[in-house]
Amino acid sequence: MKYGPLLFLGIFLTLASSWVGLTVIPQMQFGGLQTTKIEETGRDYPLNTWGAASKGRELYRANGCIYCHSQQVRPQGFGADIERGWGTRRSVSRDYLYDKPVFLGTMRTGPDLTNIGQRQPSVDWHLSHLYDPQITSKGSTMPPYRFLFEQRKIGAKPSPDALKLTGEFATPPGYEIVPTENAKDLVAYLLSLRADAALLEAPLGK
Amino acid sequence: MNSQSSPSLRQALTPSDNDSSPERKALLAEIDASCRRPVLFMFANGLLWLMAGTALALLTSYKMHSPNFLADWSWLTFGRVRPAHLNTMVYGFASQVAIGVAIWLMCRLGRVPFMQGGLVVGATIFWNIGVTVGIVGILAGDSTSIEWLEMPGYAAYILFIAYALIAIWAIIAFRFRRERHLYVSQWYLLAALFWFPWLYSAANMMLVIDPVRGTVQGAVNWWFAHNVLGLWFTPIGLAAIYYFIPKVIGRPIHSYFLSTLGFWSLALFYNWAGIHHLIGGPMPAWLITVSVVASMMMIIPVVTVAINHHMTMVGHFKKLKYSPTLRFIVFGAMSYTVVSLQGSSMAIRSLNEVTHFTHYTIAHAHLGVYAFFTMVMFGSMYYIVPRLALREWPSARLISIHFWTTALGILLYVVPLSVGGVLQGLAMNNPDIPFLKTVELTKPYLVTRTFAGILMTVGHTVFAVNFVWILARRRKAYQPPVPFIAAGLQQEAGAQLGKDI
Amino acid sequence: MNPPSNPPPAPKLDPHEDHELHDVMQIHTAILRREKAEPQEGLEPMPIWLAALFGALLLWGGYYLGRYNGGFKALVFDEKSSGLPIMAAKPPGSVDMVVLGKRTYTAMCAPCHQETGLGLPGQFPPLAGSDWVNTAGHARLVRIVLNGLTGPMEVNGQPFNNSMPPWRDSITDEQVAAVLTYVRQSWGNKAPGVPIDDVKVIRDKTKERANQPWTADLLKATPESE
Ligand code: HEC
Ligand code: HEC
Repeated sequence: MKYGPLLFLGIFLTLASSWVGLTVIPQMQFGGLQTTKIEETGRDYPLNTWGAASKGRELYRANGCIYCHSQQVRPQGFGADIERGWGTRRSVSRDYLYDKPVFLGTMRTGPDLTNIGQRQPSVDWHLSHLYDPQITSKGSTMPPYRFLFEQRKIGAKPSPDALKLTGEFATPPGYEIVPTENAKDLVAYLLSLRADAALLEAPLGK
Repeated sequence: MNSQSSPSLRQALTPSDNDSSPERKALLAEIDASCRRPVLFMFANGLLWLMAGTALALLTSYKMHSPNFLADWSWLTFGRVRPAHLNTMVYGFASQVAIGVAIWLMCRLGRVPFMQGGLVVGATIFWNIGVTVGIVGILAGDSTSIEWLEMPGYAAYILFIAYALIAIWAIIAFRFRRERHLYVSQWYLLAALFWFPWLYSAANMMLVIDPVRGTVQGAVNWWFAHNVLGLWFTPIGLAAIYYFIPKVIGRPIHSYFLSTLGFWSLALFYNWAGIHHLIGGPMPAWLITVSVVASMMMIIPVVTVAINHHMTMVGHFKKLKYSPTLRFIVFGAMSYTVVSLQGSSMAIRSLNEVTHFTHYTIAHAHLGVYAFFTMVMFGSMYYIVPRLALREWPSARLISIHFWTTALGILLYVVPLSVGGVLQGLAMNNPDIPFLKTVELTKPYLVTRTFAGILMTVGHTVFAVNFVWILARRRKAYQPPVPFIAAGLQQEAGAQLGKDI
Repeated sequence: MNPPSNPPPAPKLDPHEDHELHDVMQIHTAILRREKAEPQEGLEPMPIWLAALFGALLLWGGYYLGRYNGGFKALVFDEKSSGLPIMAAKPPGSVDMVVLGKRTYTAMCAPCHQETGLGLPGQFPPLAGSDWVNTAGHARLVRIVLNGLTGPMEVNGQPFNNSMPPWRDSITDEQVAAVLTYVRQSWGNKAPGVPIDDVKVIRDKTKERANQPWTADLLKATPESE
């Protein structure tokens, strides 16, 4: 082979083809997808996250939860996502309209979180779990997020937010563990995660 | 295709200069001298990042089975250390060394000295600033959480500009080459040098700077991330293999036709394969199916290249004993075949159902980036550095330790973790096994990986020591190269000495 | 390859290294001398079997792409169909209540009450052997699951003061019945199962509570028969 320009043309065209095929065409085909109205509730779906939940989303991003948790439910008959209670239907493009970036994830060191807000709606549970996963889930490999909490001296009155810790996790007497705003935001985000509305392209149970 | 090819083709494939002439050797010496500063500088920085990335790797691996370790400081939480590890290795070490190797190969094959070495050293400094800013950004909580593109936008700009300043000179070396005939390595190099900036800038535009909507981001993400391996590391790795195997054993590459088929089928299929990372996910069926097909079609370039390399090596495997370059390169070439065929199989929907979301994928990624690409880069550096530093490698023992610790280390990494990954996948797909059991089940394999990581750390340290040593060594009157094989084989090695390193 | 008989002429090197030039040249010459020729390409033909293999692969690829492309539509996610999925009405009795109960428990209750049903001391009360679970009636348990429970209470004489979230909007009547039946018949518990229809009735009856949790006292004030 002697022809540099010809070589270059081939190199250009091959990548151009997949750039168009895998990014530009999808953008044209479903980059403009719109929200839809859910019949039973009369509400738009999906809704954007806002307030505390959207701040929590940033914490999810910054602390790399995606390296252990996916947010995508595979269909019935492919894996056991639905049987495990991770969702009532498969995930589809419309579920992610407002997500920047999308936290699809590729690892499941921990369970899928697409519907964690439905499966585990308890703020207290999430706070204890984030403070130290060993409290609720002995043997878990999820790291503790103690840096989202504050240990402080109990003032005149114990804080109503303080974690209820017992046994090996108990705080030294006179001290209490309280969640920071960050911890509360992150939990607000987790509770907002819920994709169980039936859609035309994704009926329940599929 | 006919073996009795016309003499004109044979002529066209033969370099125009006579290789044994003194003028020719003088030209080689001139090219080496011109590459000396930029390439050695890239190698040195690359090795610094290799050491940093290795430390981050060990920390990540250890945290995976002992989550309480160093968990109280947000900068060192698992979800930041892991992407910091990936990005140091990909952008700090692998890309930088790859660019160094690519520059040297471009100049050697084009028979033209490198231009603007000083400017490139400057650009390289800029690149390293970019990587530093990016890694610190990730650890400080600015990670984008977009896989393979975690560096925050501000670091991405620096990297892109630095890359453009460096790569342009490699492409200029291509443009002004004196040897008109293009050897197969040059095709791959030119392609990689052109593909990478496109991938990197397009992905940053569409994901970080002005993100597209919804799951289109997923498609762009995996189009990019898969192609960093497929269209950036793989072609540079293959270019090095195509150069060093025939160079070290001194015989032509098996078949020009296979080279051609291998190159064009890779260019055609690899870049369509990325969406197989989202099988079962919220992607239209057609996108996934297209990628599954492209992944299977990758068997064509992989088998072609494997035959081409193997047939070139046949009858010369004894040389693996004496040449560290050849050892690392052949190990890498074999890994390439294995990892690619494994990759194709993982795109089959029914296998993916089990292996997706498990540690199997992580093992696969390391088989590709480490056992194939990194080993090939090590091999290339063993060849290039003495020519640029103008000294021989000071310690054969260290080379030997480097090879065995990394080779065994990566096997100890990949094999158990793959087994663990499959078991994890099977357990996960059985809804009657509680999730925590799937976590428990993988722990022994994660611990094994930490041990493998320690082995590899030893290898990297030893390599770094040898590298610093060769640069720092005082130049004395000529010393013959140390034999590669330790004491027992010294005599035999002595006979080969000075021929194959 | 044989080394050339005469050494190559001195190449250009950095001027400040002049004093070392001689040694350097010696070394580099030695390195270069043992170097083999630049690589070349051979002209072996491509084996026929390889071409056949590749042809077969391409055929397979064409078939697969034609068969599983979902009509190239944006909203078709199932590769086996080319249109939107049809809502299949579940045939009655298709779910095995035992399996559904266990799975619901693992997904929804085990994070707190643990897989063993033993709970966590001081935090989450046990269900295994619990005097709230092993009762003749089940209306109270259905209420607990639908609306949750908060405030001070005692289980088997142990005090607890924590909250359990409501599940009204998260799980179906079938799931409530199945999970309570599972709870009442596992870990040595031996109480009668909970029929789906009773869950429906109680869900309607307690509609106006919405998602407000019960307290132990309130529950005790509500007669089991309702
Ligand atoms: C090293 C991997 C890892 C990382 C990083 C990680 N997790 Fe986890 N996570 C796990 C594992 C393993 C489990 C399952 C055991 C348990 O409940 O702790 C889990 C469970 C969970 C659960 C409960 C899921 C359920 O179905 O009960 C939630 C919620 C959760 N993680 C949230 C997070 C958040 C938020 C982050 C980031 C701040 C995070 N995780 C980071 C591994 C991880
Ligand atoms: C977030 C943690 C949490 C989850 C999830 C949870 N519970 Fe509870 N549950 C509690 C707490 C806490 C109490 C005690 C409430 C109190 O102290 O007032 C309790 C009490 C109970 C009781 C009565 C006390 C006993 O021990 O017998 C029953 C029955 C019960 N839960 C069943 C369930 C079932 C069934 C599920 C799954 C659908 C479930 N719980 C999910 C936390 C939880």
